[in-house]
Amino acid sequence: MTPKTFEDVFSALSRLVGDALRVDPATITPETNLIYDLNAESIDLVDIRFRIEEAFGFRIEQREFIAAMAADNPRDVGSQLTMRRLSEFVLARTETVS
Amino acid sequence: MSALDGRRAVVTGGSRGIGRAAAIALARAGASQVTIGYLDNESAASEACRLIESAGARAHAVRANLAAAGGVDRFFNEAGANDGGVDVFVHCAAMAAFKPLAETRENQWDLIMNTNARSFLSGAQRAAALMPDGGCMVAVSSLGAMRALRNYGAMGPTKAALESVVRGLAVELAPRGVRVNAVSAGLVSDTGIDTLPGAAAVRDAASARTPMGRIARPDEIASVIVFLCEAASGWITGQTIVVDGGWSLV
Repeated sequence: MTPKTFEDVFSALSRLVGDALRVDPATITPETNLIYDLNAESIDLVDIRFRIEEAFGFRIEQREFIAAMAADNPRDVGSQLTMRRLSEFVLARTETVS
Repeated sequence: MSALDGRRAVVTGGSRGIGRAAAIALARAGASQVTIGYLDNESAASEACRLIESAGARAHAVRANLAAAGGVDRFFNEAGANDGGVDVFVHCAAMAAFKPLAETRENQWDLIMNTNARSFLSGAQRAAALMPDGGCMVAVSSLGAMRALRNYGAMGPTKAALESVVRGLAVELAPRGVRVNAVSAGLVSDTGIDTLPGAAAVRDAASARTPMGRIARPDEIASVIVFLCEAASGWITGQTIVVDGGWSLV
C-alpha cells in the first residue's frame, strides 16, 4: 500500500484502527484521540503499530513511534495521540520509504 | 566436554529477562551458536549478543514480530541462514495486558495468544523440521496457566494453551527422541513486570508470599531450561516444571 495523500493515509488508518478496536471507521475523524476517544490501551497501540507495519510494509520502532506521537510534549503522549498525528507520521514514513 | 557441546540454539524473546538469561546459560553450557529473536529493542539485543559471545557461543540476533502472520517463518528463515540447523528451541517470547480477563478485547486476546502460544506451535514446527533426532524444546510458561491470577488477563489462557501444546508435541515427537517441556515460573525480576505501575508493590507481595522469601532471578529459571536440554533430563518430556520458590505451595 502506497497512499500518496493525507486523506489516503487517514482513510486507511481509520479502517485499520476501527478493525483493531472494533469501532466503526465512519465515526473516526482526524481529531479523534486514540486513548481518550477510542479507549486504546498500551497493548492496543502495539497492535496498531504491528498492523501499520503489515499494511504499509515498513518497520516502526517503538521508540520512534512514541517519540513521533509525543513530539509536542514527551511527558504527555496521550493528549497528542490523535488520528491526525498518526496519519501524518505514517504519511511521512511512506514518503521516506518510497 | 560441556553438556550441550556444539549445539545450535534458537531462543525467542532472547534480548531480555528469562530469554536473555537462557541464551547466556545455553552458551555457558557449551552451545556453539545461539540465535535470539527480539521484537523492538535493538540495543538490548546487541547487549545480549555480547554476553552470549562472552559465554563462548556465536551469537546472532533476529528482529521478529512472532504475532504477525508469517512472522515465525520470517524469523526462522533469517535465523536458519546462519545456523543450518537447530538442536535446541526455547520459546520465551511473551506479551501481556495486565487487566481483568472480563475486560480483555478481541484484538488483545489475538495479539497475546498469537505471541505467547501460536508462535510456540509454529516455532516448534519449524524447529522440528530443522532438528536432528534427540533435540529438545522448552517453553516458558507461568503459574497463571493453572490459577486465576488477579489482573492477569489473557496471559493465563495463553500459558494454559502453551502447556497443552507442550504435551501434544512431546507425544508426537517422542519417536524421534525430541523432548518438549515447559518451565512454569512465578514472578521474576528484570522482566516486563518492572515497567508496570505498582511493580514494587507486586514484587513485595510476591516476595512475602513466597516461602523462599523473594522473587526469582532470571538465571534461576534459565538453569532449569538448560537442565531440560541436557542428557541428564533425558527421560523427562511433556512436563511443566514449576520453578517458583514454593509460591504455589501456600
